[in-house]
Amino acid sequence: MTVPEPDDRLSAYLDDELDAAERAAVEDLLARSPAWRDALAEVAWARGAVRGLPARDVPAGFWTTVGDERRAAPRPGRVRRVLGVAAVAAAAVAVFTLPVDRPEEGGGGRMSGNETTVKEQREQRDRVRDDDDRNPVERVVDALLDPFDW
Amino acid sequence: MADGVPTWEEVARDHGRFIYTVAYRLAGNDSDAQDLVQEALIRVRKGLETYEPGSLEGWLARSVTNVFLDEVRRRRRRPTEAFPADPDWVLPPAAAADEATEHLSEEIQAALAALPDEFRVAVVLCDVADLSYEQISEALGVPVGTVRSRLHRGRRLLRAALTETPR
Repeated sequence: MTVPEPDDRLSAYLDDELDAAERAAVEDLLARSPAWRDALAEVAWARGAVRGLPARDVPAGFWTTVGDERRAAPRPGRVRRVLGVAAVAAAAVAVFTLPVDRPEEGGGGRMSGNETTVKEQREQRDRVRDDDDRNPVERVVDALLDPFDW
Repeated sequence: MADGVPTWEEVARDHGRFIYTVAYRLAGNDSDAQDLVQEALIRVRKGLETYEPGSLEGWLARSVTNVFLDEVRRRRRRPTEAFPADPDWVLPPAAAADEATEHLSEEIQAALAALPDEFRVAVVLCDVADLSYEQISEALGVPVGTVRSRLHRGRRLLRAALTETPR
């Protein structure tokens, strides 16, 4: 009966990760084959070398630094949630308070000296739109979010 | 600790050295290890709320490994950044096998760092973090057979690097 080349069952054998049948097969091969025994010794050596490496000491002051940064770190999730709610609220207010085009009714109402005509309001908004085609809600939301560079 | 769920401070105090050792063996140097641990602890802090009592160190090792693998993927997307581990790196002449010195530990660490990432991760999770093949399989999202193969090839490469380099 020919002997197969040594394979990854050897590592699993060392790690006790084989079932009973595989373990028996590997032990049979080890008993019959010097090549399998040599391969087992090599893999065991490498395994032992890594397992024998000492635990690594954490550099002095590391945990203090981590703790400081942890306490100082912003909490973006909460900040975003709060600002998100604020942005929606501000946008809703803007929808109901910013000037809105209304159909002209007959001769219009009484006008004081400080009030502008509907035509003048429309012309003013048209001038703004030339520079910025966002709607009022978009402008409010953008203004709220802009400082945080979202 | 309430209901078996450790606090963040308990994790850092009781398992910090373990986390750091796993990170160091993966990263190969203190600077990158510190970055790994810091990022892993942030994820651990978020994950503690959903932690189910079990193998805490296994969970911590997986957290560090996930951060490491994310970093590997990020660097692969930006190939101009040098990898810390050069696959073509050749070991300097090794010390005699019976010289169990710090120098030898450094050589073993260097050989570990020179392994391809997927082999190094398997070796570190098995031989440093002491995870089972099943746990490694779950952590990496690969079949157990793949874990077994990577681990074996990684060990063979380590052995070759540490003993067969021209002296």
